[in-house]
Amino acid sequence: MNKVISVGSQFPEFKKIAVSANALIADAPGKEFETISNAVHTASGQWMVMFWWPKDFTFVCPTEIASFNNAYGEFSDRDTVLIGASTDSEFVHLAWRRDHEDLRGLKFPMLADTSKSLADELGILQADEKIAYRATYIVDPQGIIRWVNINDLSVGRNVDEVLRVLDALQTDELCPCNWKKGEETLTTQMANN
Amino acid sequence: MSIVHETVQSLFTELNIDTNHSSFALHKLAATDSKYLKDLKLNVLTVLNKNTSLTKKEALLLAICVAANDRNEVLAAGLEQLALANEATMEEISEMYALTSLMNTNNIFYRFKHYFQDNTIYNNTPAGLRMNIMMNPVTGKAFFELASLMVSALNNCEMCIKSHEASVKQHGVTEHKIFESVRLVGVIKSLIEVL
Repeated sequence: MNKVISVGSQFPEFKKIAVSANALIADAPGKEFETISNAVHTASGQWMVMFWWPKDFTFVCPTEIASFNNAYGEFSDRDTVLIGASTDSEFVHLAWRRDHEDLRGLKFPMLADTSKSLADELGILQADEKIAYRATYIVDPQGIIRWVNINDLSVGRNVDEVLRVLDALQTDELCPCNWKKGEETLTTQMANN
Repeated sequence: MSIVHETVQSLFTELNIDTNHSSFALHKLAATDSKYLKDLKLNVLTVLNKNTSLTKKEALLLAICVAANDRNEVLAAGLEQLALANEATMEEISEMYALTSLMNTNNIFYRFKHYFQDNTIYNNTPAGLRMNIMMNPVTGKAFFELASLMVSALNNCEMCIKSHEASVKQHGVTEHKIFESVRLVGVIKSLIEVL
């Protein structure tokens, strides 16, 4: 039985090898890879969207990954680091990127959770095959999970929905101008944050 | 054609404004040797230099907000050099432009909502506007709020002024400092009217 880490929780600590965005133009062996940890977004005060898929080299995945990639600019406009992940190894990721036309131009890293430790901690491993469900996380600059969406293995995602939620999370009415009668305490709390 | 008038020229020099700068209103005042020129000059120098709660840098940054709000580039350019010479950074100066721009949205948008406080649609629909520069301002929250209050004062949004005034005080800013600030923005605005 999975125990999913949900909204309000700290995203688990991780440090994983990933295929870097520009892996296919790497000029030396080994440069295709980078180590990614929580600092990838927290160090620069950015948000993170991490999305998981079950297996490399399957049919639904490249379409979905390509649609995230097409929206890469939308995420960076929103100060958001985009990361794709599965339990495949970095070498499988790299082979898949080399193999599939839609994946050659990826602008975000593909994280390799080869030990499955992160997927396990997130509670998104499917019981039989121990592969990740199509989970999507929005994590704020403080490392707190603000949105989780988990689709079953065969159900693709809608990137516009992720952007809609991200916009809603990022557009707090922070200005004291938003003061309303009876809401002084809320404004006070926001002002003191 | 530059304005040949000692008071005008000394004010320009104090504010680091090009001495060849000219305007229709200043020409008129200089041509008749209006007594107002001396008042204006002394008022400007008072609000920039004779504060007990506002530092010189803070005074200049607030003055930049007034110039930004009225898009007066002649004054803004002069003030920027003075601010840089008084320990302001380019990031802090830049933030005043961001803040002034954002507050123009808020002063219009919220003022409208404030007129219709019983309207549930206007008041309960999320604005959906990004205000992330308010989160971690480079000038610090207290000063950022103070500058936001001043732009609201310039743009005459009553509820924005009242809510920011409360917020500024929560951040520990004294009423005396708020007083000096609003005196400053009023005077700098009067300068822009003729500049």
